[in-house]
Amino acid sequence: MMDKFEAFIKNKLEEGVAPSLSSLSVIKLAAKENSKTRCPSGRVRFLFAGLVAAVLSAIIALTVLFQFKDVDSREIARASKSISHSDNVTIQIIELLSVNDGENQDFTHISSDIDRLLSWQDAPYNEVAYEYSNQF
Amino acid sequence: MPNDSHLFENYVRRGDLESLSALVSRHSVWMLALLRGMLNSASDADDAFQDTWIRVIKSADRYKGGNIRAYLAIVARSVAVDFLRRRGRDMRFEPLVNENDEAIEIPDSSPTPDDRFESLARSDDVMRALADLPEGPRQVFLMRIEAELSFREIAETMDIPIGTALTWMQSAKVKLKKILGRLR
Repeated sequence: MMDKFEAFIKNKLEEGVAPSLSSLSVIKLAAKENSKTRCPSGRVRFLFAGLVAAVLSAIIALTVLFQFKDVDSREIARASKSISHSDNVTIQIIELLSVNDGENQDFTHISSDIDRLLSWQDAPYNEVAYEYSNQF
Repeated sequence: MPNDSHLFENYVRRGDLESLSALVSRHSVWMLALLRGMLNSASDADDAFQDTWIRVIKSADRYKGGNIRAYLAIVARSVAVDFLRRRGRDMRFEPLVNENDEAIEIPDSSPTPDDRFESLARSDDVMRALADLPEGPRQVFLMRIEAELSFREIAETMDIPIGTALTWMQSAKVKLKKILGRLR
């Protein structure tokens, strides 16, 4: 709380005090310039938000895609390993392909793969498994 | 009527120049008086007023809410101190605390009652009297009566103990009364 003397000095100091018009103009100009950089227009903000949303959607889509791809690769690798230790190449190859059936609905492609892989029965097991897993 | 914080936020978030303009006009008188008192020059005070607002505008993100008058006063003081440094003025504060950082009691030896100044002193006299005060007490006095800061806020702003702020305020009042008594 201000006492009488303090209030008196305050009144005297504020007597006839006012900012000059040039100062006010400079302040207004600075505020205007600053708000241009600080506050983009509604349209720019909308475009920016759209761009961010598009980038985020793309990242999410790619993440999901690669996650499924990873699952396939892991299953194939596991299956390939079992082939390499099996004597019955044909059965193992068919099992390998059946793992992938749920994901890959292109049965024509799978059939041709089976045919091709069956024709390699004489090839070393590891080589057959490697060749197949590289296709995915 | 929107409060100061709303006006400032309107400017910061929406670029509303009308809100900033209202804020400037609401705080122009006390801020100019504070700067005039600190710089003892109307033209320097006007320049410092302009610089203060430009600094406030450019660093608007730093304002975290709260008493906007105190925030403005802190920025204004900082600008004024820069002006004084450029001017090469001696900014050393008079030590009014003892070696234990305790306030030294200053007796009010003013022979003149407060009421006598009201009819006699003019604005120029007050300015001259303020100019004769040592830097520290003058700043504390002005921050107290113009910016209406608490002694704690003044102490924090000036980086001095609160006891020093209180002592300087008392010393400023005593000296002002003496000087104004002589000017009479």
